[in-house]
Amino acid sequence: MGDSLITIIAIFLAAILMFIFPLMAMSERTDDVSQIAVQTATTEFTNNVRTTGKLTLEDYEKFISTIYSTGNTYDVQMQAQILDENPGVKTTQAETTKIGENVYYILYTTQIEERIANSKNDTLTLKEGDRFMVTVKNTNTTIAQTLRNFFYKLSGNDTYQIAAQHGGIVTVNGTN
Amino acid sequence: MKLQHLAIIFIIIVVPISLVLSLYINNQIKSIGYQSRYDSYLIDATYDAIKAFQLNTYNNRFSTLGNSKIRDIEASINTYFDSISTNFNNYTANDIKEHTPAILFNLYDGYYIYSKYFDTELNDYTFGLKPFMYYSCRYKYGTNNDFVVNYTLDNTITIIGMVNGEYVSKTGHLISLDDEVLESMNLSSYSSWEVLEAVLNSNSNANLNKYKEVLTEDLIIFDSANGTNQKTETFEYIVYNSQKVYKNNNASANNEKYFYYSTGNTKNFVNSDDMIELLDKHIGEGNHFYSYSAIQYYYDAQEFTKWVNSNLNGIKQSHAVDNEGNKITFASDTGEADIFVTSKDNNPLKSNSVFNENRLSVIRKSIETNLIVAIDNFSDHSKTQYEFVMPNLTEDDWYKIENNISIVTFLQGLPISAKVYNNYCAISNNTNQEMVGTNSLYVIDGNGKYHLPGCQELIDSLYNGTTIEGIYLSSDFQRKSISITGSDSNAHGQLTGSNQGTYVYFYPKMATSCYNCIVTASNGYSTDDIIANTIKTSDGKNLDSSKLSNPFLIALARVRYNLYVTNGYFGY
Repeated sequence: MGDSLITIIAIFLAAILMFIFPLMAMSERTDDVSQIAVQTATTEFTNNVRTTGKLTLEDYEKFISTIYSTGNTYDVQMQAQILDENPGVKTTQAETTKIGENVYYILYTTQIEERIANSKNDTLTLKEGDRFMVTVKNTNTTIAQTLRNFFYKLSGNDTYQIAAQHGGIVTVNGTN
Repeated sequence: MKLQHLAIIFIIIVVPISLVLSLYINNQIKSIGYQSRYDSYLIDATYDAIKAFQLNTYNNRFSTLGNSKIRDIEASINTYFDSISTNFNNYTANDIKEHTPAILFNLYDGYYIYSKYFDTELNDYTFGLKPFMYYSCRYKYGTNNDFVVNYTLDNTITIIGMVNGEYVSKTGHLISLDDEVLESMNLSSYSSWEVLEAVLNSNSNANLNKYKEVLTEDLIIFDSANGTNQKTETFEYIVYNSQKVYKNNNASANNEKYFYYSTGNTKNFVNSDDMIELLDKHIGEGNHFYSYSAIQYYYDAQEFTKWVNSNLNGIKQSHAVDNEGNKITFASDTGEADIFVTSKDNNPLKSNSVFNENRLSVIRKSIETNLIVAIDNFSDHSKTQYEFVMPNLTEDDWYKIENNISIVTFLQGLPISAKVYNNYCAISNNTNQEMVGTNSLYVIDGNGKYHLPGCQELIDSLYNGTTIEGIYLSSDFQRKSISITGSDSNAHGQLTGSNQGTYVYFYPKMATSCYNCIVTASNGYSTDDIIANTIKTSDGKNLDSSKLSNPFLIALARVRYNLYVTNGYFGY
């Protein structure tokens, strides 16, 4: 009786160790590799927009296809904060850097996509002083997440397995 | 073997592999994190550097002079090191210097490289600016032609050397003689500039009068009758000897008619009778102060282009040689096409002309060669063990460098977790007073709004009858500062309630930016379209060239003529 109980436990442990553990470890690593790819692509894409002042459809599609090539689906959120200096120009003593004298208004992903689609050369042009940022999060449940949820469920808000964020000031006036 | 044994062996094999793999990948993720952080630091610091250069040049009215320019560049480089070392917690500015093999500063007619050089005074290698280098190329054709062409970021070139057996040194603007504006000016009937100037002064030629421009600027002044009354007033000006001379609106005496607006916020009146007499000639119809710069640009450019077309015909890319006479190959091959003979197709103002292709190739070749040498030298005398090499610059970055004032910074050899950081950053700027690119002009319409020249809203409103108020350099729309002293400073302090009233700020062109193009630009024509006049209204109607294309070309000519050209001492 004692031996068979130990055997059952051993089989159970062996199953976990020989199948579940490697599977979890490998799926975690796959997500890590995806994380590297997504983080790199996001940084590159954002920096390219920041240093050229242009967001072209070609670059955007290339970025999307790079991140989707990791086998996951993503929610890509872009934000272009457009500097409007006009309120500051109303007074001669205005300072372009002073908070409150200028305003930023924000274009979100769908507005950006719409502007690119409506432009002559499939480009959104930004100017020096604008800000551009991109946030990428996975929307599917990866194998690692499924396995983790099987063993232990996190309570509260769900976390993202693959997420990348990058942004900064646009450094040059884009040209048409 | 029992199942338990198998399981233990399996664990012994798999767990370490999994742990090592996990560590390795985590390290890679950390590296990527560092890399994107360092990329941001590099871009931000380079941006700070070019911003410092931009601010210094347009607030410094002597920024075009050699020494002053070097000072501005050195200040900008200091800004770069200060900015980047602030972001890096564990590296000081000096540490970063040891990992910066070169900083390229490319300007209108040449470039500086900041790197390590041998200082003979200190008898050691030290950091500093290497001598200024021109974008030059030597052409050798037959036995009678052996000359060097110094290119610039626009259509201005300098030719030095033997042309058709004669030694020449000439600087000028190369244009297409088929240019519509040039043809309508009909300048070839005037034997010299003096003859043409006399006609302009006498207002006798109605056709030419169309090209005389009234330029205005809003300056901040203190009302002397009422000490605390600070106000902006609009003055007409012309550029004479690279300096803006303003016409006083309420001159009470002859020697108060014209003034220079200096940094001291005081009106420096022109006192010399000869100069006043000369400026008086620019007063024309309606008592306005007329600028002849655009006409003078076209006159000089026409003379120069005619000379170039007849003397440099037959010069092709294959005639380019290095200092030992060996042929040079370039990134772009223009084959058997004449470089310097201009026509409607080979219009130097168009970005895809043969002249432009060669200009870009020469700039690229020159920078590439010298950067490789500078970085290699740095590597030989570096305190770090890292081998510094020049990275491959992308085509996009080359485009920026070849067409604008820009800064390229290199940062190499910093350890980041599993890797070594190696990157560069190229940032260009088209809002400065060093050069006038075709993208550096803004158009003010009759409604007091300013636009990019290719703005669809502007094109539509011009078609519907709105007029152009003026076309000015983009840096004129930036806020400028001047220092004030004495009673002006006190008065300003009282006005703003602060005792730090030593600087006042003003916008030389005070207009509201267009929400369709300047604030957020996406639906415009390029300047190539404007030059070729292929622009259409939003409902597909052609816009007459006199509405936008010609005024744009005239303004471009005027602003380029007024630009101070450093190497223009060769018979300019």
